[in-house]
Amino acid sequence: MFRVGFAGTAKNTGKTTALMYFLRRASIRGEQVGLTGIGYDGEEIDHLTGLVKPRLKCPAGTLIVTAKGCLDRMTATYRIIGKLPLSNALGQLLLLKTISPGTVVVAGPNSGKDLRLTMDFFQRAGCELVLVDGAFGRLGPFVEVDGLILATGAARSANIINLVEDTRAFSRVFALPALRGREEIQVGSSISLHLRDGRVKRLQPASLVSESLVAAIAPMVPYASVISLPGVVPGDLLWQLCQKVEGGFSGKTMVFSDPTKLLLAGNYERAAAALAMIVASGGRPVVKRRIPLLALTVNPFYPLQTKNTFRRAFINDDQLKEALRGVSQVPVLNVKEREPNYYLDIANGKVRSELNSQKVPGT
Amino acid sequence: MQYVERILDAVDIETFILAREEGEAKGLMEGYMADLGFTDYDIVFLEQVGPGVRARARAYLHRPGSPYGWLAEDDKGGD
Amino acid sequence: MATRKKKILLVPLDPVHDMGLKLIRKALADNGHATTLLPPGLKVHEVVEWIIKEAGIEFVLVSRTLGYRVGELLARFVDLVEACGLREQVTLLVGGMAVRPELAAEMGFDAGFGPGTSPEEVVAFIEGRHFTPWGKGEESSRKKRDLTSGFSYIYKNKGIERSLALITGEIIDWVSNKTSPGVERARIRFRSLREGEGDKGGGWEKYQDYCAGPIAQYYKEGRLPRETRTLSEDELRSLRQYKNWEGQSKIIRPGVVGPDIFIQYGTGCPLMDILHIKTGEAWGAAGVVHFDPSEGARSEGLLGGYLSHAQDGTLLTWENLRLIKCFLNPLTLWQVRAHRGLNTPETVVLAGEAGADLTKINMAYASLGAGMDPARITVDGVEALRWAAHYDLALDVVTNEELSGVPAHKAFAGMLIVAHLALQLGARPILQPLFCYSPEVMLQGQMRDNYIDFNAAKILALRQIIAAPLWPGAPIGFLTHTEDRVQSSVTTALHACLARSLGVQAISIASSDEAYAGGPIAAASRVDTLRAVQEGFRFFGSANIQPTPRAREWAGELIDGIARVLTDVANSGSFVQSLYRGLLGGPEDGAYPGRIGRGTLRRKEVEKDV
Repeated sequence: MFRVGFAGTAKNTGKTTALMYFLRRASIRGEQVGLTGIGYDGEEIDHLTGLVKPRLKCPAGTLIVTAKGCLDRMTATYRIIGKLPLSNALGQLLLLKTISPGTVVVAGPNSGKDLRLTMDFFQRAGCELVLVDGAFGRLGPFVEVDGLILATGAARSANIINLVEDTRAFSRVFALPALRGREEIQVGSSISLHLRDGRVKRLQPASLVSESLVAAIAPMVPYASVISLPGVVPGDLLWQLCQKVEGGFSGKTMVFSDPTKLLLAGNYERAAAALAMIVASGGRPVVKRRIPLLALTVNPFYPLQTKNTFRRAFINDDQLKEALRGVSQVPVLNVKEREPNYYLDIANGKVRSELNSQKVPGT
Repeated sequence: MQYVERILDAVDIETFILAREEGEAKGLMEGYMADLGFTDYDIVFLEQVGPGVRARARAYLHRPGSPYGWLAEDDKGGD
Repeated sequence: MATRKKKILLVPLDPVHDMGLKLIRKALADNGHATTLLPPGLKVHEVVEWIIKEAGIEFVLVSRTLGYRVGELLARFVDLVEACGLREQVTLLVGGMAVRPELAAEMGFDAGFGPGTSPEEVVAFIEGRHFTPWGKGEESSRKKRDLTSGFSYIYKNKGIERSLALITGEIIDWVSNKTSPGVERARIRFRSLREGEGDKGGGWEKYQDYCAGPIAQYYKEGRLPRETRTLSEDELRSLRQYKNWEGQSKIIRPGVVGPDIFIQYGTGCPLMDILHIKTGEAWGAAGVVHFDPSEGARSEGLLGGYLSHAQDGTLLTWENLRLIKCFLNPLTLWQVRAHRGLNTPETVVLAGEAGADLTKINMAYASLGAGMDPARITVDGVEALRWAAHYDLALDVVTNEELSGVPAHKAFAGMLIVAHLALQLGARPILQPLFCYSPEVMLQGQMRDNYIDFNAAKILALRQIIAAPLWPGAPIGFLTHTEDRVQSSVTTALHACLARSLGVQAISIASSDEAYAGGPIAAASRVDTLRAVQEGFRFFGSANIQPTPRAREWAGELIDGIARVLTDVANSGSFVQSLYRGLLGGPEDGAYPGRIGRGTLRRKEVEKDV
């Protein structure tokens, strides 16, 4: 089973459009697809802006995990085939199988732990490919996927320069290498510094959530060979740490749990700048677990607020395309283009080869 | 989807219109409704007191028995 | 059951202080829970620091007015809590303006509390007691009421009781050897629904023999009347999305005990009706009344199929009724009116088979205010009352003839005759005096000073006659409404509050479109009056409206008048002749016995009981 997450850097960045493309391709290939989401998606009108959104259309035979409170709003007919011991703000989570195609409304597990349990249900139901829809700019639960499609766009920033820098920063964080297989580094549940004399300094809590923690860590860094930051590492605070550490990071390995931990506090550029600084001074930032970025989608649409209402607005398509050239190693595509398929197919192809490699020959 | 599809039945427009008498206000309201692009409209209420007329106009977007936008289903998903 | 005490962090993320959160804090503290209220305006990562610092926090309730960027912020907060490893320890709740459960789910919160949430609801959620995340828990405690329960129907006025016994005895005797096309159709309908498959079999082929005009034409040639069409399968299927619609909306119920509020629907299209019903249910209607087209009362026979037409009143067909029933909240009281036409008994059979709770029958009004031939409607009315008893349908007896000018005491005499007849035949009547600005009071001036006394007098009078349920209607405030929606909603609310103060069982209310005749009633106008009534009930609470002493005087006069009329009817020896002769309202009152169905009665052949 291969799990693809559709995360966004903000609301209205085109997650649903990208997800639906995958859904259709998989359905054409006759794969058993599972669909769920960590937020709420599928209604016509955005709850905050009042603007029309694309609806989630689903072919027959799709397995869906969604909350009981969503059932009345779907036009697809379905059979309930299981109940999960989980719930969200819209009620208990159910496993459905669509009987006829139609629109669906998806509100699934709202935490990484619940998502893991949901995946078990999909696995037992025989899913080959599971698509997980994101919500707002949430990244946290996506530590549970095998590959990520990231949607960004003017809804995150309507300024092209900022958007490009932001996207570049995001890609850099996701490009962080993994800890090499043989490296035996004990990464516990607290911040730890492995000193050259063999001692390990541990600090509570796991996340770098305050300036006082930064101040406590910085003086110890010159004596450490490995700095492990397993929790949340806001870009601002990592930047501050880099500023405070004397003598740079030469020969030091800095370990993060996964790329999302560096991004979910929001300021991507600061995180990327700090990483660049670490690398420039000879350090080696790594993640314990990589989440492969399969593709970046960029949406020129954004909701423009005028007084109390929103209207649809777009940034210049051509400028955006030009500016995004070379920003990332992964394919970058504009979801509003007529033929985004080429790029999505590249991402889709990656998924395919992963899927095939998982299959045991002869089955 | 068009926004109008989600309006269950009618749109009311209430306002205070500067007019000497209700007949004048009725003409003005009707003209305004036509300007807004409504075709099936009526003046529900007019009351002249003081410098103008309290007025309410109504446009029916979905009369009972007509095809309802809110029942229109999207084209079925999948392809 | 004692609940373990919980530790809750209250987080006002708005820059200003938050009254709602303070009320919730008090409610939580009153229930023994430990709360920490953070200062307003913290950054989300600072809140996370607090959760880490304050060990043992189980719930975090964030309060924030939502806007576009705020959604991102709150979603990031949820992410941070999770990434800091705290998600399994704390349940995340969000409350504030614009918060809806869908948005709470989208942002990753475990529950959302929108405007109007009571502090008790939050306490209930935290204590793990029953809670429906998409609505107020009140729905589950709402019970479908039997409006007649607890009433003995014992007469306090024995003189009136004696007259009624004489009159109803005569009626039952008079109708015993008569039948009508309406009576026959009801029996065919019953057998066909019970024994046939759908509308085939069970002797159904004879049905058209008892129909006339456009209905007969429909059954013979399959042609629907003008402007009438069959709803398509697509339309019916698409409607599915509105099933259980109330599950998604907040159900507004007045917090104070009051009469059950009924609204009327009958837009001409059952699909539109269903949306209006769902709207009414959500805004506090406990019951809904099916309004059929007035034309339908004047034709022998009822059409079949899922039918819509571009006229007021929704066609009575078996399919339309079943369709509407499918969408009704199981707790909603449902009335199908049968009172005033050629299809009265058959309508009661359809209502009973379709699962209605209530019907409406009044032969005196049908004759004097709705154009029915007194003889025909008396035969059909008795048959309809028998069917109501068969299906255990409660029925109201409405006094709408007041609107054509019949004085209240004469209308009430007619109402009491029908109610007594219902009791004799084993049915459960509900008295429905009008709360109205009738021609009688316009002329006599009982409402020159206020609308309270004369309406109160009607209730007091009826209570001094018989212990029966009361359901002022229909709608309350009749002829006090104007096209001004504010005026219209206020008058409805005030009449509702008067009814509540008088302790009646139910009321029927109009929409704020009551006086507007230029087009169909809009759903928003239904909400207008339901909302106004709710506000009125909230305002008065358990305080009462005090009528002036005139109310008692007028009640006495009403009782004397009723007694006089009933004595005259009893002495005349014929209810039907009394109707023709104007004893229950005549030309001097503006009432004329009708002619619809005249000459259609037949002698009954050998009785075959149903």
